[in-house]
Amino acid sequence: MQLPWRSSIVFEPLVVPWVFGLCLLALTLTAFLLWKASGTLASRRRRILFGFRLVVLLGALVTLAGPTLRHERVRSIPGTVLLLVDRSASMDLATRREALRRVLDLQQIKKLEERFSLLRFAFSSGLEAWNDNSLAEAPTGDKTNIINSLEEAVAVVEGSPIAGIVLITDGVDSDARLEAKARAKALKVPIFVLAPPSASSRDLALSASDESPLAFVRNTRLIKVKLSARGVSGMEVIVKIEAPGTAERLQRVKVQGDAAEIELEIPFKPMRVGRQVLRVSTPLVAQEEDETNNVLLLPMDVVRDRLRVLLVAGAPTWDVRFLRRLLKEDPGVDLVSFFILRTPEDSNQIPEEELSLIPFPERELFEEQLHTFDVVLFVDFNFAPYSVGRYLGRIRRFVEQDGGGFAMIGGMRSFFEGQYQGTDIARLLPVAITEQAADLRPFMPKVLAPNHPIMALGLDSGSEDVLAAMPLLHGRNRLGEAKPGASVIMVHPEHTEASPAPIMVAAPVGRGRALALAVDSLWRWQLSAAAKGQKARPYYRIWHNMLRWLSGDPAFSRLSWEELPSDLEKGRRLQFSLRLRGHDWKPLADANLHLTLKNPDHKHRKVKGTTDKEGRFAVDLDPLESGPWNLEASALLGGQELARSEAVIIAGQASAERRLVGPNATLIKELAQASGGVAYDWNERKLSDLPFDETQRGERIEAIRSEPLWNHPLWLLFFLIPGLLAIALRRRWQLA
Amino acid sequence: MDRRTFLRAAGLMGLLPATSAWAFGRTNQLTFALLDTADERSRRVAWKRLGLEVEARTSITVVPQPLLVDGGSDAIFNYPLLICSGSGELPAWSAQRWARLAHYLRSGGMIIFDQAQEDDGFSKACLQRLARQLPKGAQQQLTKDHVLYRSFYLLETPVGRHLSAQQPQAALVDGRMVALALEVDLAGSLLRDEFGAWAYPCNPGGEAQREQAIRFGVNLLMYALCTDYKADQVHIPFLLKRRR
Repeated sequence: MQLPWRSSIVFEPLVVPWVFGLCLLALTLTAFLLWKASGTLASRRRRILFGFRLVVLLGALVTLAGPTLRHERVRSIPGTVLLLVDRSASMDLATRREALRRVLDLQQIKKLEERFSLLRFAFSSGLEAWNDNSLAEAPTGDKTNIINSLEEAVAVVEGSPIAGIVLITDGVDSDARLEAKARAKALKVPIFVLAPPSASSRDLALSASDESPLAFVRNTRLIKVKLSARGVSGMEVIVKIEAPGTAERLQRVKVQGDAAEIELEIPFKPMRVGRQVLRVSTPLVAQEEDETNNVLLLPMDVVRDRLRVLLVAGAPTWDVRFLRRLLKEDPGVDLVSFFILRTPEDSNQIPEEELSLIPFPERELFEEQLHTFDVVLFVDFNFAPYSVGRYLGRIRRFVEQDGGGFAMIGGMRSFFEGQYQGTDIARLLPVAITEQAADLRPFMPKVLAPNHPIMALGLDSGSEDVLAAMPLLHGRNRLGEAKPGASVIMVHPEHTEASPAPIMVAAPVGRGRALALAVDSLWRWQLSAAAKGQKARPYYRIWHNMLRWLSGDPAFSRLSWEELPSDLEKGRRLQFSLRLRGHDWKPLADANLHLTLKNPDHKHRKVKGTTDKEGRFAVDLDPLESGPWNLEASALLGGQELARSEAVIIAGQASAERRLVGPNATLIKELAQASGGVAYDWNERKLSDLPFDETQRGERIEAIRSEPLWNHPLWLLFFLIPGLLAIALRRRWQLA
Repeated sequence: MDRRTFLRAAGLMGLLPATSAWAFGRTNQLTFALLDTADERSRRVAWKRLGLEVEARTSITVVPQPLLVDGGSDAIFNYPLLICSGSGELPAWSAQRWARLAHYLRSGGMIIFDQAQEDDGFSKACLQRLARQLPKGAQQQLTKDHVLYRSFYLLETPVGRHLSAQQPQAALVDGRMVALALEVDLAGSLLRDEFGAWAYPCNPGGEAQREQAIRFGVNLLMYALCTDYKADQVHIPFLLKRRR
């Protein structure tokens, strides 16, 4: 068949643009000069003469623009159909994968391609390239954004006539937007949605409604969980809640309606800090479509809102007065303090009702309430007169087993002077108690571990320089050798390896931490330092750092986790590093690291390795089985444990996408209607039967022929005649 | 003879080395650091007496000899409690010295002005002058609910050689009492003459008032060392019960 030709005038300039611009300027100037030069003529004559001259100038200009007659031979072609297939994880159900294979049958595709120009795409959070083999693989997209994907597809064929869009989806959109309807309408292309039927399946799914996985220790937090139910109207669902350290609880929920969403509020009161996993689950219902979304593992980072500190002082002293003030002024500290104001040896002739004294509640503190504290401080406190001896073992267990912090601060009632040798506290302390009387001489301590986080004074100069300018400390308890694994942070100037004289020693003990400080005059770094105009900052920083370290602040741990993910996708390898620091807080090489991973099914994985010169050990493990895994790492050198650390990760948990129970019939219908399309049950409608707009056709130019007009003889006449007329008129009007 | 008396006696007899007991150095113990005024010198013994009473009644240990310190020197920063006894007009201290004293208080120190003569305005004048160097609103009148009155004994007003109809003026910084203006001559009530007899009578309460003055002195020192410890929540149920 002979195709028609279509003609049009186009311009193909004879000169480059800047030359054309110069010519335009020159011609404009010429026109202006000619107009001025004809100023002596009568008005009518002047206009006629100028009109002819102007035609000549315009003719020259148009000639330079290169007028050309273009002839095109055009072929009409079919419109484009965009086919978008949802490859997000919510489509990874046996019924949906089967339906997809059926809908995208080769015969159907072929039929469609005969009528239209077909462009195929996959999509999840955005548009993806189509791969013919992808139908054989499970869809894995962890998010869906339908409207963005539609817009991106339309943009790909911008300007081409689109006969329609085929959207194959369950409508589950993790990023659903309110304006989706308006945006679908703005595409001006009918969207035909092929979606699963909404009434055919049953599913229960749990998903987290709260974004913040944070809870405060000893505070109840209501965690919001959403139960999505489909096809189980009227059923009573039992939701099981399991939290670490508490008995499991059951919550009954009545489901109303075929597609129901029920908000549950689950109280969670953690009793210890660190990451903990809350497990919420529902039983499987008969013929449940998706069995992976009935269990929700919620990792909760439990932190302290306030550090609970128990301060026990053997007597009111200046040291404890300044320390208590510092702790009371800190909004991050919840302080309970007890001072022994009267000893059994003091006069007790005054009737009790005239005194403000209260009995020392040793049983309440050390038996009933001990677990509620994060840190216990014994400040110049001798246990013997107050029946506290029987509780010293509890304090040791509070540190070693429960992960608490304990510090003994010096004074004439501490360490040897307080007769702690041979007690559980002596075993707990990171340093040996020497049976030598206190040294009363003033001195300036030396910093032995300037890199230790307790000595991070936050000042420009180093901690040694800062402390060298501080007032002398007065007296010390004599302490012996630091225990293995302990960090000797400050020492007496007479300290030698042969004759140790530690002042501040800290060490992890079991799950907790213990610290010994052998002075009772640290207050002088506040008040006495002020005499020289020195700020009390070192005093405050050292104490705050001590408390953070004692409370087990992860930032103060010698063994830390680097790049450890909180969630591990199914099938992905677990890769992270462990970093170890030595007693002096510098990277420690050649230490042995033992890592154990355990899950609730008592499955273990063990890894051993050695730290490199940066103190690092890189871990690369095969994918873990789904569920929560507790990670316990310990570092050993010469058979001695240096540090330990714990973490939790969740492996292979169903993504948020899998927890959105589809199909979302509302969104599907809205998109179709807003765009002028229709939503169909994919079991009932074939791809090739969709009512595309056949009038939307494109065209293809198959041949082009150009005929320049500017060199045509008639064209020359067109502006030569006005020129000749202008010359003739000039002569007739006898112009020079 | 109790243990402490025995130890003290033994120390005097040279049986034990004469080291500072219950703290590593003198400056770590409660020391009566007296600002060097004429009245202070004459009343040093009174503070020593209070020290003995405090040691006998409480767990506080005290450096036995009160010290005279130069209020213009850096030495005051070694003693978190200063005592200034006086009478009559404001001491003739330079503005720099008042400013230094205020710096000492803001840094954690405390001062007690004790007025030797009834109604001569010494303590109040000192406090007013000092308050000019402290944050606005620092000067306040104490109430009978202040923790000072329950730091050891349960009391309601300051007691000394005299009684005052009004609660005393004080300076508070961040809730902590940093200065107290006493008008009851606390030191006078504790002073003995060279024959061991009380130097001044206590009016109007006589010897019972003197015992109350000692108790107030104990509370004052207990507050200096514990500040608002007795305002902690754990003490409140006990104290409310006893107040009833």
